[in-house]
Parts: sequence; structure tokens; C-alpha cells
Amino acid sequence: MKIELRGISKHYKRVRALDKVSLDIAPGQIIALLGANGAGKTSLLRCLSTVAGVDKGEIYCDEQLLRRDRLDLRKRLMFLPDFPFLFWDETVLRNIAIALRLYEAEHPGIEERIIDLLREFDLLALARTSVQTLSRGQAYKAGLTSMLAVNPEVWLLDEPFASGMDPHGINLFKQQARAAANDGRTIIYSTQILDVAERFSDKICVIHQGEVRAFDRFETLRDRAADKENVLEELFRQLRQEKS
Amino acid sequence: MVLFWFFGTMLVLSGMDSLWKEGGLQAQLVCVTLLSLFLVFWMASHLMNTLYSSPALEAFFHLPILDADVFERQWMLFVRKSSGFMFAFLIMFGSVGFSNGYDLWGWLGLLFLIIGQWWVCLITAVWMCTRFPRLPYGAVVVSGGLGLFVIMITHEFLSPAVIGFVLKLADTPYWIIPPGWLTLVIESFHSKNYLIALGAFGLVAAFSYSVRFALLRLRQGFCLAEPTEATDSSNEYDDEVPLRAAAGPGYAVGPTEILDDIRQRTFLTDDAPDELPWFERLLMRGFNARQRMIARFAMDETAWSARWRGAAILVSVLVIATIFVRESSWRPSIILYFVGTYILGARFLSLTNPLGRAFTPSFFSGTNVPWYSGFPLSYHELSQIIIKLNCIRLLAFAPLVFVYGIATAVLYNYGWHQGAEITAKALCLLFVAQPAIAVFFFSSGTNDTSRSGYLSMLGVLGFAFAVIVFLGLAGASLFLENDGYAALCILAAGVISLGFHRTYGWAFNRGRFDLMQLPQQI
Repeated sequence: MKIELRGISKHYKRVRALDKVSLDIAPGQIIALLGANGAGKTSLLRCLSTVAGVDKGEIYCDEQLLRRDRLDLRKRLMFLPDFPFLFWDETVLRNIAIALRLYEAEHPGIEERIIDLLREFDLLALARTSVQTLSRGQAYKAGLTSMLAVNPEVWLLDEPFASGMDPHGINLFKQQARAAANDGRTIIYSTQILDVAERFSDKICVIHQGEVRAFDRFETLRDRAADKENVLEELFRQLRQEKS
Repeated sequence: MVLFWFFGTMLVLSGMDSLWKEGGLQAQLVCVTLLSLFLVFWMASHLMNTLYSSPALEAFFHLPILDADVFERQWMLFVRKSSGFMFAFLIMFGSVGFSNGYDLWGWLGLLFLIIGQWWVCLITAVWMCTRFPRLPYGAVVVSGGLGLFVIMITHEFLSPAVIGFVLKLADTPYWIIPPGWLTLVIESFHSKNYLIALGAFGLVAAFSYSVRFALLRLRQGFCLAEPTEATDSSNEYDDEVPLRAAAGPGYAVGPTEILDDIRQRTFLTDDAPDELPWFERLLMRGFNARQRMIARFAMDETAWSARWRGAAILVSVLVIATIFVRESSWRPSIILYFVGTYILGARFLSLTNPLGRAFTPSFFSGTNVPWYSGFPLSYHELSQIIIKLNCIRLLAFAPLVFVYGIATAVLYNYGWHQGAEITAKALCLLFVAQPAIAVFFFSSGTNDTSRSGYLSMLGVLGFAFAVIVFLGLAGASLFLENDGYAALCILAAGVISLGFHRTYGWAFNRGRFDLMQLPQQI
């Protein structure tokens, strides 16, 4: 799915979260959103998922205007916040079932995929356990399993690398995301970890005070940087100096 | 909240005005005392929540801060927030001033009394929390509020009973309780007996002095307790918990059963409809598979069949009470009748909470987000489910409400057919109000009113106007004798309700609101 953001602005009362953000995101890419706290990364994800409305500008998915009543478009993207949308009193399996049915993704053959995912995320034995009894990392894995089972065209993830998942879970997520991107899906995630953004992305989008300050491949950013060893660190240093 | 205060004010003003016409100043002062007593409970509920249930306490527990300092902070927070109650006293005393045509000095005196009454009520609340910390203040406030609401809206219908009750109270020493002391001052100025006013002021002064003792007791009993359970299940970090859960019943199912469950796709299917109680089965009728799934997953797990049975028993008791009241002078049955009315009302009003879980906010990234906004669910789809559920519930409760309406009419010497007619109209109004009621589910968890700007101001004003027109039409339809006009009023009310629903939906779909809300200040 091709995503176009055309001059979107977003304010929370007097706080400017996004300011005339324009982006063209081609399908089959992994995009890392980078930015200081309060830069607008989560706001961007919220706007893309229609949780937040935009004050100005439009979002297009495959050249169709994204609105809350466009369920056909919304079923093609899924948002996984830092605390996933789960019914905490329901079991892991029940939550997966809810997601599958709401996204109408319960097609034949999904069963083995779910079993594989549960097994790989070490959730199979806990599938009938209420989510509220899980640890934070396990709950995130439950949300991630729902997303992977639905397998939408656009994955929107807020801080997946600060979700409490263990190294095995993180590796598995990376593998799944890369495979999905190769399959033409778009993965957009926010992170504060520069190393992760550098190594696990096709493009890096740097947001600063609601504005997109860079949106390029890491290699391109490195070519532009003076310090080739610390590309992203230098970029952030510059943005901080600019702010101060 | 603004609308709640607006309509609350209108109700109090109309009630006070009616009381003045029927019972003069005395009736008004009794009403002021009763409402002030209600506010005392409300304040006490606030104080208990601020001191013992505030989410901030959990944070303070982990900080190097003395309990005494936390107490001071929470106490000042309570006092600051309680100043909002001054508005309610302003409305009550202002109504007295208007009805009795006070001059400038009279109004200045009233202003002084408003602050005094707020202070007296505050102290009373503190003493109540000190002496009776286990009283269910919250429940008293909810049931008291419901009672006041019922009295206000049925005022025309139950006028003689309500006025009679208030006038009877006027003959009692109602002023003996602290919220009644300053009403004595008003009375004494009217009767030019200033000695009583002096006595009342003396009482208030002594009471004010006593607050330090009450606070001392509260302070001594205050200590930050270690949080025993997570207030938000999403904040569960304990990695040991799954191990404990392993021993629980949920985990008793082995992996083979889980694999079978997935491979046979049983985890994707709903529970068998035949296993549901009759009311829940009725609710699921008329939904397609997707709607049924949303309704089953997202609706509150409420035992509706049991609730209906309870209401049926209650209505039977009310009918028996009616017969007693009619046939004998056994007064306690009136009390029984009113208590029953409140309980029935509470059961009936809770009909409007059908999709609790879908609208329950989840906390993420610093905001509260209702569950439904994380999934591809449309406004149209969800509101259609809400409206359908509510209408079916209304239909199921309709026979009980009819019996209740007829019984009430007979009790107050109206014909049974009049009771049936008004009940039928009220039910029709409830049906046509459903599209508007559905909007509130979406509105409550979002920030559609927190954005400032002319457009949002216009929206709120337009909404307030629509509600006033709706209430006007509803009132007219209830009391118009011409059935044709009454039907037209109900129809017009329905058009307003639908119009409001559609307008909100239009703005909702265009992303005019965020489907999230910043956490409240704690």
C-alpha cells in the first residue's frame, strides 16, 4: 500500500505535534521514525491509524483519502501501540480471534500460522491464559501475534523495541517484519534506539518539533554527514543545538 | 460536564421557583438545606477519594515524602477543587434572592452567606469523614442525585406529594443540622428577629473552630499504604506472574487441547447461542455474524435476564404497595414505593450502558484511548449495534414500565389510561432518543470538546440548543392532551435526535475529534 501524507498538521490544544508533514512511503519498506521525546513520532502513528484526527492536510492510501469511515482502507493497516489494544480479561487466543474477525482475516489455513506464531513467541502454552496475568513483554507478544496473524499491508508500531520483549522476541519480530517488507508490506515503527534504526530500516524519518527533518536511506544520510561513524548521533546533536 | 451543570442548574432553578410559589420562603429554605446536605455527601465523597483513592497516592508512596506532607497536599487539593461547589450554593441562594426581590444589600448579604454555607458544608463533610469513614458516600451521592432528578422531572406529576413533603419538613427543626444553620439567618432577617441570626453565626464560628480537631484526627489516621493491586492491568510487569498463572485453571488445558482448538477453528466461533439466557439470546437476534461478534465481545458482561427478573419482582412489590396506599392509610408503603422507584429507575437507566468494554479506555503513550479506536470499526457500525441493543432492551422492559406507570397514575388519583398514555409516550421518547444517546458513548472517551476555537464553541452551543429543544418537545409531548400534536412532538424530537447523531457522525468520520483523551489531573 502506498501512503502519502500531504501537509498534515496536528495540535493538542496549544502544543504543535505535527507541522505540515509531507511524506511519500512506497510499499515494501521498513521505516524507522526517530525523534526526541515529544517530537511527534507517536502523533504521526496516531494520525496514520486514524486514532487522532488531523487539523490540516490529508492522508492517502493507494491514492484514496483515508477517513475513519473507510473501513476497507483501515482493514489494511494495523496499529500496535506500546501497550497493545487487548481485552485484558480475555485469553490470548480470544484476543487473536477478535483481531482476526474484526479485520476479516480468518481465512482458511490461518490455523497453522497462528500455531507457529504462538509457538515461536513462547505463547502456545499460555494461549488460554488471561492476558492480565502475562508480563508486559508477553502481553506485547500477544498483541504482536494478533498483528502477524492478521498480516495487514501496513504495520504501525509504537516503540516495539521498548516493549519489554525478550531478545528472542525482538529477533523474531525483526525476521517477520523483514519477510513482510519483502512481501510488499510497509512497516512503520518509532524508536529511540539509534543503532536499531540504523540497522533495521530501509528509510529513516527524523522528526523534530513536529517537522520532518530527514527522510532518507541511512546510506544517504551518512553521505551527507560530516562524522561518518556517528551519523544519527550527529544529526540529533545538531537538532538539540538548534533547539537551544 | 458543562452541560451537566447547565441542566442541573435549570432543574434546581425550576424546582426552587415552584417551591416558592407553593410554599414561600420556608419551603425554599428547606430545599436549600436538603440540597446542601446532598452536597455535603458529595464533598465527603470527594474528600475520601482525594485522601484514600487518588492515583497520585501510589506515586507518593514511592517518593521520599512524609505522610503529613502528602496529607497537606491532598487536603489543599480537596479544598481547591471543592470551591467549585460554590456555584451550586450560588444557584440555590440566588434563587432565594430572585424570588424574594432582594435589593443590593440583600444580595451582598447573600454573597456572604453563599461563602459561609460552602464553608459550613465543607466542615460538615470533614467531620462526617472523621466520624463515619466507612459510609458509602459515593453510593449516597449517586442515589441522592437520581432521587433529586426523579423529583425534579416528575415535579408536575408528583407536585402535591413533593410540596407536601417539603412543607411537612418545614414544620420540623430541619435547621438543627449544620447545612440548615445559615438558612436561619435568612429567615431571621425576613422576620426581623436578628437574635436568631446572631445565634446562627455563633454556631458557625464554633463549628469553624472545631475543624482543626477534625483535621487532626484525619491527619493522625492518614498513612500511605503500599499499593496492593495494580489499578491498571496494563501496568503488570511481574515476570513471575505467568508462572503463577501456570497453576491456575486457565492453564490446566494442555497444549494438545489448545492445538485442537486452533486447528478446528473453535476459538473463532462464538459460544453456542442456546447456552445464553433468554434476554441475552433476544439481544443477539437480528444481528449479523460480525455485529454479533462485536456485541458479544464488546458489550458489558451483565446478567440481563437476572436484571429483568429483579425488575419484575420490584414492579410487583410496587403494585402491591400501590394497593396498600390506595386502600389504607398505611404510610410506610409510600416510602416503599419511592425506594422501589429509585431502584427501578437505576436498573432502567443502566440500560444505556450496553457496550462498556468497547468504550473502556486503554492507556498508551500518555493518553487514554477507547478500545474500539484501535480496530477497523466504524461509527455507523458501532452506533447501529448500540441502538439495536438499547431498543431491544427497552422493548423487553416496556411491559414492566407500563405496569409501573399505571400503578403510579392510580396512586395519585389519575385514571389508569392516563398512566398508560404517559408511559407509552415516555417509552416512545426513549426510543427516538436512542440515536442521540449512542453519540454519548463515542463522545465520553474522546476529546471532542477540549479543543478551543469558535467552531467547537459553536458546536457546543448548537448541541445545548438541540438538547433544550429536545427536552421542550419531550415535555410538550408528555403533557399535551391532543394525541396528534403529541405524536408530532415525539416525531420532531426523533428528528433532532437523528440529526444530532448524523452531524456527530459526519464530524467523527472526518477526523474532527481525536479518539483519545489525556489523563485527568490527579
